[in-house]
Amino acid sequence: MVYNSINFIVLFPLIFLLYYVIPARYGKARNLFLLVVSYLLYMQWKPVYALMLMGVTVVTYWAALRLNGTRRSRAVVTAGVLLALLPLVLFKYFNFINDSLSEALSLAGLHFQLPGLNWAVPIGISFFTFQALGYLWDVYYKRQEAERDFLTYALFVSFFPSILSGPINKASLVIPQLKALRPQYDRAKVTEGLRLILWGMFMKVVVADRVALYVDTVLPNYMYYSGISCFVASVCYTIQIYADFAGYSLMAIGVGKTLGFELTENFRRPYFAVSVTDFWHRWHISLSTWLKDYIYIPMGGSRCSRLRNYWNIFVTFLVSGVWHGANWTFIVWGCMHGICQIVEKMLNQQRCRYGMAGKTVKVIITFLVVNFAWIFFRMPTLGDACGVIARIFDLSHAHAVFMPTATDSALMALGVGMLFAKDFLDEFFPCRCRLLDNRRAVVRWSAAVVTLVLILLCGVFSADQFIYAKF
Amino acid sequence: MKRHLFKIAAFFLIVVLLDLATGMVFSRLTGCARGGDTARNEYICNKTSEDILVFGSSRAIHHYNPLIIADSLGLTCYNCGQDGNGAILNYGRYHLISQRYHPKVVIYDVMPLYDLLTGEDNRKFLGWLRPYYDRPGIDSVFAWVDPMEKYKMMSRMYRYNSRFLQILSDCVRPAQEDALKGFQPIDGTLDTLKINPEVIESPRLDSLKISCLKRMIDETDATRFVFVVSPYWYGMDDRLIAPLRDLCRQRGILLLDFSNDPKYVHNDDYFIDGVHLNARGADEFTRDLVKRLKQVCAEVVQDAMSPRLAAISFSKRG
Repeated sequence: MVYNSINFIVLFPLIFLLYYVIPARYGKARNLFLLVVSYLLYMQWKPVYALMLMGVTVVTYWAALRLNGTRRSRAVVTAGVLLALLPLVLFKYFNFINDSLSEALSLAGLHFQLPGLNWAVPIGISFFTFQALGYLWDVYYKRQEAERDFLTYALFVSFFPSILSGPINKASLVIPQLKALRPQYDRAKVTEGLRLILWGMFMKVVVADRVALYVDTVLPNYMYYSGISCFVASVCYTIQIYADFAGYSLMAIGVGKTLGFELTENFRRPYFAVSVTDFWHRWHISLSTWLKDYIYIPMGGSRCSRLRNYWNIFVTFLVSGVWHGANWTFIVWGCMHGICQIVEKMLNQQRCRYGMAGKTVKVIITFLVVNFAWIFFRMPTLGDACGVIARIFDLSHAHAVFMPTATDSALMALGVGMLFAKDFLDEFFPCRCRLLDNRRAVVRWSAAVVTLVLILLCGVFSADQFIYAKF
Repeated sequence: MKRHLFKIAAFFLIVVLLDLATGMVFSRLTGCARGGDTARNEYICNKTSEDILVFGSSRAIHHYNPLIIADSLGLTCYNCGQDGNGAILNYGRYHLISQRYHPKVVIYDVMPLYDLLTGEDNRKFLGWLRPYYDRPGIDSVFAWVDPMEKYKMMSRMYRYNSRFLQILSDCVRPAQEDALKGFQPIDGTLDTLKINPEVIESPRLDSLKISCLKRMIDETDATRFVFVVSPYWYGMDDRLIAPLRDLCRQRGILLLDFSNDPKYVHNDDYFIDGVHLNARGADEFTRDLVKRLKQVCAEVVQDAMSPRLAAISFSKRG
């Protein structure tokens, strides 16, 4: 469900009320209701792809059950993982692998190419596949009991608030909540959930979609804009992707909370990171935790030789790049993050020990490095990404900055300024200047009303899809 | 639970009341704007009475000098062009205008991306019409673009979405005065960096935009339409306006195409960027256009003397 759409505004209160109409003692009925809603919402997009979701659910459920009491657990987990990955590989990576192989073969003078698949990638496939695989590995490593109740497990994989773009929840967090008898109505959680939805919506429509107007004007036509305009656009994209994805995550977590669930935290003010390593402790936390638990640590993590450790970091971020999309740009983006972290580890620069001024310098350097890497993430080809970078360093039209209209500039500054101020206060003064969760009701209510008014007056309501929905 | 739901409902009630109040305030402010785009939009929708109106995108607003047109043709003229807009907004505005009177001539500057082809999200063309959503026929334009828009328009505040700062500044300190009858010339010379050819790969027709053009033409017989493609620095692929050519042929409408006029193509003196003439180019182009329009306008003046059109003109004005 796209949270910034009329559908959400109409459907969510209905789902919310119907959910709470079911008495808390009928926990299974509540879960069944959520499962039906999750599948119906998923089927809104392309009904047939719900079979894919069901397929991944059944395969991982079956494999996890088979792991109990079998001697061939390695074979079972391998088969389960491969079968669960099959739709993801087929839909998302087949064309990329096919094209890359045929290009490689053509270099050797061989001309061979399979016909490409012209199918749309099922929405959220990377998220629900990774969530299901995480569960399977947890059962394999005996960190989690295999879930026998299919209804509970199916709801864990398809839970509608997080199926589209995460967070990638751990079974150990969600399944106990699904099995427990939840209270009829948790007032504090509902309030907190609504607050998160409100701020998430602000981040998406007031900040992300507003700066996107600048990004989408300049970056696709970078060759006709000056270096400084391209640099400003790249910074705008850095802000856009944060406000877009973190906004989505907040809304997903908020929707979960209003229904009485706690989902994984996904963002912790990433642009105040003092190193790229620190950045990954704050950005898309659920994915970086997944990569750490199921790629980095099984490969040996840091409990191995120094060189092996560097290799483990590199491979982990290579997988991160591949996970994001079937394109060399994502692979380069992942490799850049991996290499930066290796360099930081070599130079012992993962943390900051230089006081306030040093921290400020490190935050700025990290921001610029991450910003530079986002260029690869945003552009459709490596050639375009290099073109934008070359343009940024071309000083021949240094004076010419593309400026949107005065109104657009003011609205951009307002949204970005408010987001920066909130993140800054949350980072450095977490107990002061709280507005949406202030102890005094009048401040709390005023802050909420003003935020909603700003959403209505300054938001961009084109119901654009979230950037991460395509992953 | 009930108490909490009541509180949530109370919160939304406050927002609804605030929404109504803010909508009323901005509606008043829009009417009071002393200049800038707010006053210009209000003038176009509610106050125009000129004989000739110019419609189109930014190319219209920067290319057609109404003072030259009025001086040369002896008819009053106003430039209703709007940056980044095309057939959808122009139909809405023309529909509002035609509820008051019928201009004698409409000069419509065509830009394929905004008037004929699919491109950006069509919802972006509704911005200037939102304050007039309650006026007859305007809700249909919103419904054609997106049936969900009617739900958004239930919010009075949303009608001034993204424009409230402009409305405030146009009331307090208007950015520009409208001495040039809606025309906004751009001073300066060609910036080679901005020669950004409009490459449209596999152009697809936008049925909604074309239907808006047809509806404009069919709104009344009392207005004579002239479609114009003003000059491009890099010229234009003639195939892009083929559907318009067919439409003009079917309806007997004059189409004047200056897009590949050798006087303008690659002439750095007349342009500010690849698609916009500078002030000098705009004046020169308007003079060239007027030469071609003189014949049409002579017919219009003559027609106006005929009893049928005179009656229509009189009754609509009344």
